[in-house]
Amino acid sequence: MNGPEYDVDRALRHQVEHLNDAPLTLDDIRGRATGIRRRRRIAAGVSAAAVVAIVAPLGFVLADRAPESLPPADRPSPTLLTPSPSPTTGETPSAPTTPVVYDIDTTPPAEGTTGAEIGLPYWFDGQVSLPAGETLTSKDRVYDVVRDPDTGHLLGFTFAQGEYQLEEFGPDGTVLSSAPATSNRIAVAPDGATYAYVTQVGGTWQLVEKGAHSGTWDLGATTPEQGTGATGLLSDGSVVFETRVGRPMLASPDGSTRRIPGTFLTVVGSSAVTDRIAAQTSYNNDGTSCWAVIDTAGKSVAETCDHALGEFSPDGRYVYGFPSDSDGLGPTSVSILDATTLEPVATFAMPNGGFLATPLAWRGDTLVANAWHDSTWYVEFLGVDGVLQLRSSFPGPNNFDPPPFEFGAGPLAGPTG
Amino acid sequence: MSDRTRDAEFSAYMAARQPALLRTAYLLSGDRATAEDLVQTALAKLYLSWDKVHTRDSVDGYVRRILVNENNSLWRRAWKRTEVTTELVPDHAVPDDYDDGRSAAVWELVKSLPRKQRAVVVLRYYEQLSEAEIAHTLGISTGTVKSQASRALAALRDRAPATLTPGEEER
Repeated sequence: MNGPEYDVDRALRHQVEHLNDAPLTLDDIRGRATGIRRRRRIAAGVSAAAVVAIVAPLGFVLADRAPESLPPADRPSPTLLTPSPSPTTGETPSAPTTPVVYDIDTTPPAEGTTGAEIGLPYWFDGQVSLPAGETLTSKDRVYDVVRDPDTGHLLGFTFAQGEYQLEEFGPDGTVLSSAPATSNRIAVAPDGATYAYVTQVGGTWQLVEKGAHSGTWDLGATTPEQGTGATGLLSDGSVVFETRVGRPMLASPDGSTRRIPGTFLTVVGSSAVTDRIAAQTSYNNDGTSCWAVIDTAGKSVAETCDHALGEFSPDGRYVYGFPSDSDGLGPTSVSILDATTLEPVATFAMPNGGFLATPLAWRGDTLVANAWHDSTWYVEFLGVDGVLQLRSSFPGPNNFDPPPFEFGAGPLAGPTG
Repeated sequence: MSDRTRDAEFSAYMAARQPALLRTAYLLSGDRATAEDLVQTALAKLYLSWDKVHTRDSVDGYVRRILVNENNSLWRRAWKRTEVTTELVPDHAVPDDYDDGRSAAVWELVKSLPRKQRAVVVLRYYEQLSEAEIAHTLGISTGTVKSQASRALAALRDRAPATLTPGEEER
């Protein structure tokens, strides 16, 4: 650096050397973000108005909730539950031939009624509840829960004081062991019999797979990036994982690992039935993003810039997606997409001002969602056939707070593993 | 990624980087209040995009680009009342006891540069970015970065030859 450059460098550093404070809080940022999003939506609304004028004769199909028989509640709720039909599970219904948009109903449910079973492991109000009726006390929010086939103990990811932990719970809920993790991401097979995660074992980071398929892959001593981990399983027991965002890898049963060819910003899930992987391909300056369903060679099967993809349904036929410009305050709609074409089969839209908490969970071919609107959290079942079911609602005056439920991947293997 | 996890990760990034972002924003804008406003907007836009700006290596670049664009946008909206670039050397430098006012004088000259040149200077000499990184941040070619940097230094030399001419003073 020569004389003038040195002078400039020194002058700039001298001017700001006293600025070492951090005056902004997360609430400051979220407040500004809310304003930015509002302005974006107003602008988008103006742009969309002309389009609506053209397509208005087609209209939207609005679904009514259709109360049917009432399955027993799996657990008493502290507030309100509503009669609702059983969520669609198991058999796959015929998909509608025309994509439709359903308004998500947030009518307060009748007091004293009970709702459908969630049918997934979930954390709520300091307790993990499992479909078979088991419960586990945990003050910390527990994300995915799986059962160790060797010990029968439950394993769950927690996040406290800024650190992810993989915790092993004893039968009475005691934490028997705890190991560092980089995320709460765990990959679970559709039948719950196999799962995989990334954790630290004896100073070395490992990708661990347990259950019907099993194996460990050493990832070295360097801590993987926060937020990365196992994202999916394939039919032969291979594991899709990331230890550095933007570098999707495949761990094979023969013990080898390889990078999935192609340029991907991240991978968010895979199907152990179809061996397809959901990946982000680009992020655009206008806030939108493009995504693709790819095969294990990185070849694109279907692409979309309309939706940001989530996880595949257990049978691999569907993948859920949010509007591609969904932001950190929560998407306002979710679509169930045909996983082979990425065309929407059904779209569910929140009322104005509402949003969905991410991620959503699959129960069969029904999505289970935390939805927020008008100072209330709702648990909603969103079916591929358009059936909407509202299970329960909870006061939620501050939408900055996390949703009441944390749904885990399921189902869970039985106590015997 | 769950909302809570996202917020925790974002908070960690914000805690680690906010002072540095504030300093860069101050050098771009020239005053504390505007700098805070720029950082708030930049972080808000980052927050909205957090799930998609996955490669953490690129987050700083993403935020820098927002800072520069927002600063230019603010300036375009309010240039008449906030600042006027000038070809004239300031009458006097702000005195300080750091180096007999030399740095303050240079800073006044930097503040008088056109916006784009000033952004190039800040990114080059304060952020220590390469020409390619500056080009990416500003959305311009590396050739333009070179020419803008060259013009900026030439302008600074022209306006204050006594302090910015190599070899005039011993270091």
